[in-house]
Amino acid sequence: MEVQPLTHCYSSGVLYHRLPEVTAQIECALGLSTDDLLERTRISDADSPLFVKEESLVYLIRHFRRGGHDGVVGDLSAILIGRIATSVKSRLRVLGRDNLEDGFQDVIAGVFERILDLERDRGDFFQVRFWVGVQRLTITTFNKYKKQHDEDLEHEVAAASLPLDDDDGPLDRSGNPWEALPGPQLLPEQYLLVTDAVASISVRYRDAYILHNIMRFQVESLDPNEPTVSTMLGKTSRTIRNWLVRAEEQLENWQNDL
Amino acid sequence: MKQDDYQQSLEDVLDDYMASTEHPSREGLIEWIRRYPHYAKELAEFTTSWLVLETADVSTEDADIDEEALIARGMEVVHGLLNKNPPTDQEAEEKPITNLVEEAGAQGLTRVGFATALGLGSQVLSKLNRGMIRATSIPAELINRIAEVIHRRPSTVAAFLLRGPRLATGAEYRATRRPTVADQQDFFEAVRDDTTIGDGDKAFWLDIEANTERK
Repeated sequence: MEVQPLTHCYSSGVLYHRLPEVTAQIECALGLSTDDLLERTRISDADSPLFVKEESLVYLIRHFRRGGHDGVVGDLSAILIGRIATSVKSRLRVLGRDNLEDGFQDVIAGVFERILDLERDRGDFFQVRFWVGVQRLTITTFNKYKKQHDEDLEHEVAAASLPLDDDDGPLDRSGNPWEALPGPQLLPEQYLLVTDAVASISVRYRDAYILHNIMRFQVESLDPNEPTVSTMLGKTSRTIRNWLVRAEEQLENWQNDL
Repeated sequence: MKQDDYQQSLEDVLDDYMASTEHPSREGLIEWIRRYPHYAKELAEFTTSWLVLETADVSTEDADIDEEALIARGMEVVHGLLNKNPPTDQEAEEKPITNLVEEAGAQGLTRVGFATALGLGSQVLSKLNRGMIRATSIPAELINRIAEVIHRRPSTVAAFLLRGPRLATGAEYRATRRPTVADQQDFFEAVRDDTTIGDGDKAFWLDIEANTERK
């Protein structure tokens, strides 16, 4: 049975291609009986020559879905979810228990909406780089929950009539206010460990903090071609500076709570 | 660009961005913003989240987060997608089932009456209710029968059956440990073992098994 080609393209316009190993696995799997196929897919040792890669599982799920064999689809899906669970769970831990469970469900929904959508080729990337696709969905899910948490927090702040930030805030100190405040030592531009402290900063301030203090982007620049925190986040430099001050305050509070 | 196209295009860019590098970096972010300046904000926000997640402390074991329960929730999602039908205006979102026998009781059926309506013995019914039957072995015919009798959607019934083993209430079960997936029994094996099922009903279900094996 011929393996159907992928039809989706990279953002550059180049067509997706499966690894030859994946294509070979799919061809082999399609020649097996259903029972034998399911037995092989249950092999969890990735070093085994019989191990069925996740990219292959995605194709097989779509194949059996087309054939109306939803029982097999369910079995294969359970195997795939079992492989995803540990990785996604460990990454979304930072959301806390309740949001982790909902976040996990959202990631699974994102993966399988694409895989089971036979009308479109949205799921093609999972047949090329499955784990990259899962990781990407995990990150966007994390972002969504963090933003929602911060929006909820902002509503509380607004309800308490506390001053917000942004352009009208009184927090801007001329020059480089964040340098005058206590904070973590800036490390050389390299791969850095972002501690729980930074992860605890509200998303809207955290992005500015990481981009400026860790990834070393300038708040603003006279060079119109240089990406800056201000241009990337679509905010005025005054707002960004206020956010950086807020971020430092939250860091200081986190330190005081230790 | 339509919203759907915009979202699809952004997802493609983010997928490609992640695939292009093992770790987030300043140089990588600059390059991808150069390629897609209209996604600068999304790329920047995505990168900071990527950095946070990548460096979060994952060394602590999550003993209190049941991975089997997470997987079961994931399977509920999958079954929901497989059974997806556009809801009518009259249909409300169904609450999950917590106990099949209680659902039948709400329809005026006793435990025995429920088993009879399904063509099962009370022993198999009890195992189904406690999640002691391997969900993947349950024939669609039974799921549809249960749904019809208790007036619930097949997908909701399937989601309940996928939840895995649960301890029985009362004195029906005594164990020193929580039952696991490994303790679950094949449906047709449970039918064979059931001493309370009628011969005609037993033959019906075992006939389904035979037809399934022939395919």
